[in-house]
Amino acid sequence: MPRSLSFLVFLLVACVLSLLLSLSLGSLPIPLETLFSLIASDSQSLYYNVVVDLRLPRALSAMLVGAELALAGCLMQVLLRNPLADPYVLGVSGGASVGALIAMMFGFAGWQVSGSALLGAIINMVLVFGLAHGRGSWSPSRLLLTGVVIASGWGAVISFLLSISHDTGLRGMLFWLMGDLSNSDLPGWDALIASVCLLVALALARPLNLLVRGELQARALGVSPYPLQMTLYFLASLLTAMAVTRSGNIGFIGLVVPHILRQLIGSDHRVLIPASVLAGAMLLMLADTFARTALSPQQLPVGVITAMIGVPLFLYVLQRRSRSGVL
Amino acid sequence: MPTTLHSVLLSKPRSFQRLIRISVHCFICCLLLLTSVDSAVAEITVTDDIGSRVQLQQPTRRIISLAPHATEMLFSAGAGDQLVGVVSYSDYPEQAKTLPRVGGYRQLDLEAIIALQPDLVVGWHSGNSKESIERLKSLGVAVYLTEPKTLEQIASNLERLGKLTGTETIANSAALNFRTRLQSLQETYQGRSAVRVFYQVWNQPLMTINRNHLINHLIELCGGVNVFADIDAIAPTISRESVLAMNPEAIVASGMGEARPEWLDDWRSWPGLEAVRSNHLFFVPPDLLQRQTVRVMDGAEQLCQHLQTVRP
Amino acid sequence: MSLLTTAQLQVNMGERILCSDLDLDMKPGQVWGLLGGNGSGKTTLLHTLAGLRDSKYGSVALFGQPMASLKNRERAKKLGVLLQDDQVSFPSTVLESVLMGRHPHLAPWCWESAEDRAIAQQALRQVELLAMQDRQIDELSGGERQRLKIATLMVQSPTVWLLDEPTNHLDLNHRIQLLSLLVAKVKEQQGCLMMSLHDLQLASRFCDNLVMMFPDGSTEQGSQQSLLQPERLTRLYQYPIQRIETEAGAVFIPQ
Repeated sequence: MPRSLSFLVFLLVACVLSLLLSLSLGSLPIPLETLFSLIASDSQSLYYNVVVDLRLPRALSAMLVGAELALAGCLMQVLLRNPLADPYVLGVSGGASVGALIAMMFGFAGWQVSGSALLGAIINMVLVFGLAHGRGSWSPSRLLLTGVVIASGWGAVISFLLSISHDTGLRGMLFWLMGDLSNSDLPGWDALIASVCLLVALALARPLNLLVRGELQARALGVSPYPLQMTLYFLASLLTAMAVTRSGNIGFIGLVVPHILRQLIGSDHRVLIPASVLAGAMLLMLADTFARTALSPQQLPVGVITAMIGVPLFLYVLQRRSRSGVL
Repeated sequence: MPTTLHSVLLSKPRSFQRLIRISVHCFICCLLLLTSVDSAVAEITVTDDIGSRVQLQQPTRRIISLAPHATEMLFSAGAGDQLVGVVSYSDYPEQAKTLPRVGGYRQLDLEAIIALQPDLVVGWHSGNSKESIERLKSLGVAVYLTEPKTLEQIASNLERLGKLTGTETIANSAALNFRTRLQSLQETYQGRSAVRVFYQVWNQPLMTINRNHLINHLIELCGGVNVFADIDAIAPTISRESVLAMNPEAIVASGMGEARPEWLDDWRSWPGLEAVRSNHLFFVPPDLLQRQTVRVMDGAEQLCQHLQTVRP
Repeated sequence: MSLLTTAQLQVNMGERILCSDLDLDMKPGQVWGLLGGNGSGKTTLLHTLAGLRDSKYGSVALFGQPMASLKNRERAKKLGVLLQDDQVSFPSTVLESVLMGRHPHLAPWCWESAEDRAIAQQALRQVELLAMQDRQIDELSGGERQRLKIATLMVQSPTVWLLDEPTNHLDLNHRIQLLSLLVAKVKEQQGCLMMSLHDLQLASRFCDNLVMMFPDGSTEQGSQQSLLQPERLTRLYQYPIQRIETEAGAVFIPQ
């Protein structure tokens, strides 16, 4: 597959260049040549502090979250056999948000908020799974309906929490809901879990190609759809939960990235999955860099930027495709 | 009063009960008016912070405050015992905590406000919803809106409120006291060398204030310079990196507890910062800086003393 | 040796019994036709034979092994099924699509080799789609898509072929051509084939044996000569049908 391989290499190179760009841009102007000499420099200097302690964790967090969301979106679209599915459609982000907001209401911050968000996401996963699974039947439409209804339930709880919360806390809550990478630490355990998820997803890539043709067709060609769907559900939910826990609700990456790539390179998941991961990582990192530099020193919510980049890009690709007669 | 009845009849009453209640209220008001017709020659007129004229036939007896700072100001102006209702978080002075609540300042319980039959409502222009204020006005309630943006406006608010509530003596002396302290701070710190200050409003997201905020005036009063004064938004979200780039001489924060100043401790991981190197990280209780009341003078005095330690 | 057998098989749809006590025995080289009216249960029976659906009573065996004991992958190497519906939610090219047929023959993590691609292209050539191999499948017409599905099945190259209305959307030329191709392939490889059909002409032309599913839930099986008789067909379709012998074979005419 030389064409898809070269596409992946292109994405990888673009990703590395974006990382360099992200590290060199910010409120404090740092020349590129200084950037390279920093690694060897003294850890007390302001430049070193800014690049290694501020920009690097933030850029790597953005990459991780972008990759997680794009992969989760890609898997969710296969699971629900619906190109409009995104990682949040089954309410994982709603559950996480409720968890995080409750923690914030009680005055917690930092890891307590993240932990509470993760707990909320897990509660949602179990809830949706239990209810959609019901008495053994499991269909994409039933799963989607259950998820959407529970997600709107979470939405109501979020509105309730916001309306009863104190003014000062509200700022932090709204910012969290819009998605925020400004206080991210260096990725750790979650990067490890995400890598394992990616490996599993890659191993399942060929069966996924069959599953998008329907459960019956997949079974006819030797795939057991049920365990595959369960795995997909848990992978996608876990990835989303980790992304939301790290950064709040960042929209559009999970919907737009896999979709654009499907239009560009087709739906072979053996290529689509790594491409989604790379493109998601790159897009969110660029969006975040833009969010913190465009009106510097003011910060914009990164979710606004992903939407501002994602929507026109998506419409452009869609237009181009429909002009060539597809879709 | 005819306008009140008129508007009540025109506006769709949510419940019959409420209509009755309002009608009774109007009736009582009419009675009061009739009995005081002779003494109503001397009308009280003041202009509120957004330039509206507030007219009363006589000094107030029943006041409702729609903002924590308004509650505090009314107490300072000597009208605390006239307060019959306040919004949530009206926690100073101590007596304010026991007053009946009429909702949060963003979600007012209009029914509760009307039921308390106030003759004056003191609102907060940028805090209360405009629709609620308009509705109160259309129900014939006198509304005085506060929006203290400068220190001088705090003093003048006291005087104007004193005039409305008939407690001019206490209010004017409180205003005078405020102005005296203000002047004394001005004289003390005016000529001193400028201290570059970063004021942290909030931690997550990291927020500060620009030149139009009252806190900026306090910083200037103490001879400080707000490093983010020139940003357009009044309370902008900023990056940690931009604080590093500005490299302030002092960091002042309020939001966390005094016993555990986590926000300030967070900055200690940046030893490259001048403020951190020389340990110029200051805590000032939020109520003393972020509420537009006479207590900002306490906050200002604390702030000025802190900033003074920065100067060589 | 039998390739696909059933014993006492009962097929239901909810509470409704579509057929019961079915004992089938498909031997190498045999081509079977499955006839019945709409809703008589042809698709459900084919899905049960293909192991895509469990049966309440009775059993299905592939190469003598109980269907239930076979792994999906093992089954897919020996048995292929042409489904009626086909879902396309995401873009995919004709070649990518037809290569899916190789799935059961490839180990996990493996990509299709040059040989697999040659097999796929050969199949596309046989169904006259090779020129369209880089087209998106949602650009294909109904008949082209049906041929693509048949090509995918040929790429899977099973021994037991189960086809659910293979002539759907196909024009006259392609019906004859593709059925001849498939039947020749099955005979040559000593496999077996069962297809549901609505066209009695095709059934008499290509099938050795027939299974008829009557509206009352009963079934009959036997050679096509013995079953394609007017009174049975009339009972099967609840409509009078005449059989006329011609030099080119029997012709069936509804009155």
